[in-house]
Amino acid sequence: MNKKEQLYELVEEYQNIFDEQPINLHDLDDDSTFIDDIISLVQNSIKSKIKITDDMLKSVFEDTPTNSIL
Amino acid sequence: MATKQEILSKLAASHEQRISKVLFDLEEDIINSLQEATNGIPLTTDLAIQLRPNLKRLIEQNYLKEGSKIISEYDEVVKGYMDYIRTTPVPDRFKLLTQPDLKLINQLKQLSFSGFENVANRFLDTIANEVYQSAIVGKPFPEMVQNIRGAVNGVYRRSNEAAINRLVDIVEENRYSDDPISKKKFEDARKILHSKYASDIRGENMRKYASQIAHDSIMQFDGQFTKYKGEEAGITSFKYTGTNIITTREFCRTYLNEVRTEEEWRDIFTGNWKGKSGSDPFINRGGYRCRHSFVPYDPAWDAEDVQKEIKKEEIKIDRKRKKENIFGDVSNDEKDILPNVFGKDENKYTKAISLIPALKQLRYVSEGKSAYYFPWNNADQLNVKKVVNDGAKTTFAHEYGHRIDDQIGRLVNDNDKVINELSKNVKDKNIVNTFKKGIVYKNEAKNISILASEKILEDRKILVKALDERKKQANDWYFSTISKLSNNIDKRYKQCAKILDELIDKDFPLTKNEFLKIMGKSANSNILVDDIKTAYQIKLKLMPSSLHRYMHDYIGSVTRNKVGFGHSDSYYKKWETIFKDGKDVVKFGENLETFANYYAAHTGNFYEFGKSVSVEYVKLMNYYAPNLTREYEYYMDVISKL
Repeated sequence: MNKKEQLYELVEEYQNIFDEQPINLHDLDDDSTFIDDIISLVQNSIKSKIKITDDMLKSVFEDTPTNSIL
Repeated sequence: MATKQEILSKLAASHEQRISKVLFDLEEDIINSLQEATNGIPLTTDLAIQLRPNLKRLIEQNYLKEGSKIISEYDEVVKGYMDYIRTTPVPDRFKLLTQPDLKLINQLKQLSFSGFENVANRFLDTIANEVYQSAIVGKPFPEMVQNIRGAVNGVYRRSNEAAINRLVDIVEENRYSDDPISKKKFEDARKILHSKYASDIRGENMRKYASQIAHDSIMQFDGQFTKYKGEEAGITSFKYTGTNIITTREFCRTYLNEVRTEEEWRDIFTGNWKGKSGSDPFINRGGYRCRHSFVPYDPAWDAEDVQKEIKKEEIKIDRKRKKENIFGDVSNDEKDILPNVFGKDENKYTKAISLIPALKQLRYVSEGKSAYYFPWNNADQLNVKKVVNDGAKTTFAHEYGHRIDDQIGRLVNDNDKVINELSKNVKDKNIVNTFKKGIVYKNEAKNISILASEKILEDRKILVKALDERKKQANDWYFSTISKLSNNIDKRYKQCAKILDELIDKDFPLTKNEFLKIMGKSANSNILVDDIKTAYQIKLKLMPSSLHRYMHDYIGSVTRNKVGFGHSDSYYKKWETIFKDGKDVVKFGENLETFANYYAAHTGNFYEFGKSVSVEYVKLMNYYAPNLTREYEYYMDVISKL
């Protein structure tokens, strides 16, 4: 299983717990240097049963302007 | 080629901006001149009278000189009109500019200049009177300076306080920007300036009238010239054209794209509405700073045979252009990327690109920042990763798909014939009205994907139906199947291969080779338990984690992440609702993302394991979301015939 599949399975697990998908993943490449950070973020969130917040995401992703079409 | 309306909007904005700058220079020049004249001597009434010619000269050198330059650019409006009329079926003799036309153009320009002169004379009096009265009452010099600054630039006058000047600079730097952050800076700074001068805001300042004249003058010139040329060609009806923005008057909103005779328009314009500036439709339109304009338009042109003739002409032009470049007009930034991402062969997807204008701005985003498209306020800004690998190609195609969705929508939005054709399958006509009216940022979004809202819901219902049961069925099948597999690895491979052959039956969306390809395997590869698990999930229309991330995004955007995912729930929630069916809601973000993913797949830009897997994923899109995928296919067919 590659990192992308690992992340997708984790996000599915997250969805089952919190009934929402918190992260914009659509253009995240398999070889992105951020994929490990995101995997770790989702893993920790599932483990601690704490929802991923905007602030947590900001620590990984940079912001885009409001109303941007991603 | 820019339309007449685009030329008008661009020039009107640029003229306002230039006049605004000139008024700052004028303010400084006047104050410097007064300081020089009163250096060491008291301001007397005689001196005040002597200063008047100086003030007049400064206004002429600054404001009227720029006004004259601005008016010389009205020829662009004439060109825009001529480009428009050449696309209509009026006789050829009316498609040329004649000597009397040039005479009229000069007269109209002179008339426009008199508007600038009126403002100049009015404020020359105001400023000269301020100087004279200051001399009579012995007003302190700094107070007179502040009053004159206010008379020229209102709250945007220069100040002794550096902080205030910084705010004025912020306003000027960001006033005409498309960037939302700049807009916010502009609004904040303006608000502070208004509160700073709240006690003495001058409603009557030169800046207010001069910038309004700069805007309205070009629009009036256009209205009068259009009316004259329309009459000359024997056209008695006119179409009210332009776009809707958040501040569009209700009157303009109501009559936008309406075609009426001159008499009917004159009758309509006898009514009253907020912001009305006069009753002549061709001069006043919706009122002060109205961005709408008329074009001569004969309803008979909508007749089918005439449309065919027009189309024939357009096709001729298109074919000529295609030979030169299948992508049409492109920016320098796009020139090399487009063939790299979309190939060199002409098809309906490249045709769509050839129909839209060249991209205004391409920017590269850093790692960790999402790619995005920003179209608001006509920004047309594409923010992408450098196209250095397959993943970046997919992202570029996805973002470019957003651009196609947006720009084609803008292109066809006032063409009822094309809209009727595109919306052939739309049952709820409110959706068509939403598309025509526009939504989101100042009603600017007129994406063609809006029309597919019902199809998104149709497919969503299928995909989420009995979802938990299907997930359980897949799990049960998986555990039951692996429990029956041999512990011997070779036997296990063979068993899995046999199970896969059974799963890939006539109802399976892919052939065995296609399935193996998307799994990164060849015909000789060993079949693993994960492979048969994936095949079984596909059979149940679930989304295995090994499928392409943009396929996940496509299905995630159809189902609002109930099946598949890519964009976050909060991303979808931030957009406006487009369509409701009971409890089921389609948000604009879902229209956007479904189309972008459709476009990326259908332009051959899904890659896995170093190969294009678009053919396979197009089949999967048709399998998972058949109604929506077919609908988009249909839109592209209609667009390819434009």
